[in-house]
Amino acid sequence: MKLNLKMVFIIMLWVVPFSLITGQTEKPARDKYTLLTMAYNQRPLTLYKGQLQANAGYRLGVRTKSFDGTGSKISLKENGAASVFHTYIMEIKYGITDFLELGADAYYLRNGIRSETSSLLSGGGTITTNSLNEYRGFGDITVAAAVRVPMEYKMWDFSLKGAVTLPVAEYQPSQPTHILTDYQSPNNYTVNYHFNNNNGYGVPLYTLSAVGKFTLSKVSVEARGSYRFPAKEGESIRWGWTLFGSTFTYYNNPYSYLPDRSLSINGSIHYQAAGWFDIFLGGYYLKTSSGWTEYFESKFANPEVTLVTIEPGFELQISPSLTIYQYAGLQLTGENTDAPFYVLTTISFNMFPFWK
Amino acid sequence: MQKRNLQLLNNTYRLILFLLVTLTACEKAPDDLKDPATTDKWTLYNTGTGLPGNQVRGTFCDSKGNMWFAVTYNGAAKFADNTWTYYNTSNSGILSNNATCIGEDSAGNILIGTTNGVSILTSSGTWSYFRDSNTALYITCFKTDKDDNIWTGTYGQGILIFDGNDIGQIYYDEYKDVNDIETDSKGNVWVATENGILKWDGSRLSVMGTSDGLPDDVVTALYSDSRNRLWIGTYFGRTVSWIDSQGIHQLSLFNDRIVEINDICEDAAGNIWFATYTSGLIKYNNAVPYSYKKYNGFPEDDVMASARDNDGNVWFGLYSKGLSRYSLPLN
Amino acid sequence: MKRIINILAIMLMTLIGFGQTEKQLVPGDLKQLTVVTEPSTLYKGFFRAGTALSYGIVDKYFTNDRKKEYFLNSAWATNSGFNFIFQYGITDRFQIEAAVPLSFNIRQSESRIYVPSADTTVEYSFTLKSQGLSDCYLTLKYQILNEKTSNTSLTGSLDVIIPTGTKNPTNINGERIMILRWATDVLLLPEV
Repeated sequence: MKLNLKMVFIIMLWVVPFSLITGQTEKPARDKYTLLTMAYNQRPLTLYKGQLQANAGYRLGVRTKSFDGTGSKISLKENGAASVFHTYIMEIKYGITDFLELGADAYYLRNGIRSETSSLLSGGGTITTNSLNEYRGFGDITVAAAVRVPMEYKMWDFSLKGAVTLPVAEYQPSQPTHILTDYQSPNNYTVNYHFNNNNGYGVPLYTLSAVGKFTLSKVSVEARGSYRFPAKEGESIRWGWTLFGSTFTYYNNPYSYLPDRSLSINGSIHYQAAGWFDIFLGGYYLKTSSGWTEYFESKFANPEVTLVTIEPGFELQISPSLTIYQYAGLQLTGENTDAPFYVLTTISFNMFPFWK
Repeated sequence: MQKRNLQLLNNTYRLILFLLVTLTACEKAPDDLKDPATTDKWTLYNTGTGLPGNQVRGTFCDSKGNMWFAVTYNGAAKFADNTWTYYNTSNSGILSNNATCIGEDSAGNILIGTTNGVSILTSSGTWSYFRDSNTALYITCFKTDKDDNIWTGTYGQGILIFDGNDIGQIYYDEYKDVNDIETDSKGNVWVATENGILKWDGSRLSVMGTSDGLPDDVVTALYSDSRNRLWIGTYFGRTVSWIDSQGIHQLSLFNDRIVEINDICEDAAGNIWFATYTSGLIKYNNAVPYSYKKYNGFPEDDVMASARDNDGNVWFGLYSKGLSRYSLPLN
Repeated sequence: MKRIINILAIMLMTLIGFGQTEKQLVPGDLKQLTVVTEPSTLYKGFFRAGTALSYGIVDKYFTNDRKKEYFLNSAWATNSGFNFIFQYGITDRFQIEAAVPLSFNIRQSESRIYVPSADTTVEYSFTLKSQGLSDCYLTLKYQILNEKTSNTSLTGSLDVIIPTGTKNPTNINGERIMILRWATDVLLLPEV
């Protein structure tokens, strides 16, 4: 009897704490609801088998500063060149298996950059010029495939992704639409330059990415490295014009170019505050190089861009199918690039369309 | 199973490392790329930088892309592969240090005009010359036409034409002072004189004056641009003119004020530059003129000559401040 | 002895049972009212406080042809505001609301004038700023028709705009006035 009591006590000492641990962490059943509502810290890097995800995002960017070649900040507002850009992003992904995902994304961008008004005053006349450089239109479509390690996600995960950006969007600039206004005499008028640019690259681009994720309880860390490079050189056109009277006539000349290679590294730390709410702080580093553009029958290297951004944000699950992501971008340092402040809001719709 | 997964992981790491090394190893840019930081810059050359004199009244780009300059009272200067070479009477066979203009014939020989004839520098480095034993030949300009004849303008002796064997002369008393000679896309030769323009169409010589639309009879500069427009600058006109297939047109640069044009050229971006006396430089982007004078940073208001090179630069010879080079911006 | 084993077994089963029944919570499970399902006025005794941040950029305008075009010159304007909002339900139908807005507005444009004949360049910069406390709002809201009886709610509100903002110094003829504004809201609510 004494021995039995002792045995029971020892078993209790072992079983009770163990049951508390395993009991409290009920393993979720593999049903649709559970998969759709999986918190970030328990979610693998690719979609589940049969999962379809459609994302629609909007990024508002305010471009009031830029970094010059030495890393100093220049105020674009003081030069009359501040602008806003609106980017509308669409993405669709599908989980072929628990370890393989296919996806495609596209975007539409609109940005109008004006410049300081310039006037030439001579005697009784003033010739004034204003300039608007507009970017408007769809960007190229990117198709991607991602694979992850063929293990159930517990604490760490790793995935590789390959993508091709297909040059389907318009890339050559459209004919300018300059207008002459306030014409009073040959020395008294206003010229409003309006350049119409498109957002395509004109050549295919390849991207290779590697992502790693590690989770410890409610805290997760994710790191991503991406390398993008062009498939070949491209050819585009530059527009020239002649003003005769109040009419502009246009002509164009071809030039060749090679888009930059770019290396980007993202790191983020996530905290799963509640099952449906995750907040994170991310950092982003970008470096471009090796691109060139032809001017005056010579190849000029594109200025090398460096940019470091901090991105705080959150993920909020509104319903099993609907999740909202939002993060802001604050530029810390950089060279030869703009320093816009932006806010990206994405609504993500998830479903299992073929799962009854 | 665990062992297999670990093996797979190791292989994955190795593949990523290999890819990163391979791809980043391709980062090195081609050696022939130019630095964009060198563009949109003004550079001044004068006696302080080694130029033999501070007045440059002739600028020319030869067929090899070398730049030549006539430095008044100091011979000629050549800028090639970022190196300066100076030619004067003590170190070369140049006829006179009082160089006025530079040209080139169809064989690639450099013609240096002086106030006393023409010095010829062949591509092999030998010198020869042409001058008049009776009178000092003040050479003002050169132009090679489509038949490889060299048209030479002079002050006081009209036009001399060398066809490879003989020298001909076109002399009219009222057109004896020639300021510039240009050819157009149709092969016509235009001669700017102190009394209007002479035009040679291959068979006939015709005259053009204020009655034909010229802003003034003292025509100082001619330039045929890439859009097949012949630009005409004068010394006392209130406008500059250009002739195209539709006729003659006027452009007012400074609100109907007289602008004395010394020279005209076109840059690689299609802008037309007017070198003027007292009004500095005026850049016309085919819509609006822009002024470059001392007040906004240009060295001098008296600009004597202009020419472009093959590298996206425009060169301006100044009256007393030397030579200014502008590397065009990239936009 | 038997008793001890039974007690221990019950304890063990209870612990395991409780351990297994913790469920992941999602918002859809909570029976709370949302902006769609809540009435247009707060319930009696409820107090709500909140903040609102607004940011807007002006670089376009509507032409006479109703087209949206960019400003031709370099004009740039931003309107930002930070509002504190307080709401209290005096009764189930009657709500009082106060809003304290802080606004930061800026308008600017840059231009450069070259005068070659006078050898002069003039850089012209125009900036107009307004910063600080704007006019506060006091709103009284009364629910004329309650959604409990039908799925339609009819609410009337009376705004009192209190001129707490600093007066425009150029408007020397204008007076700082209090503005009254009436609004009527109709809500069609879903079945709850």
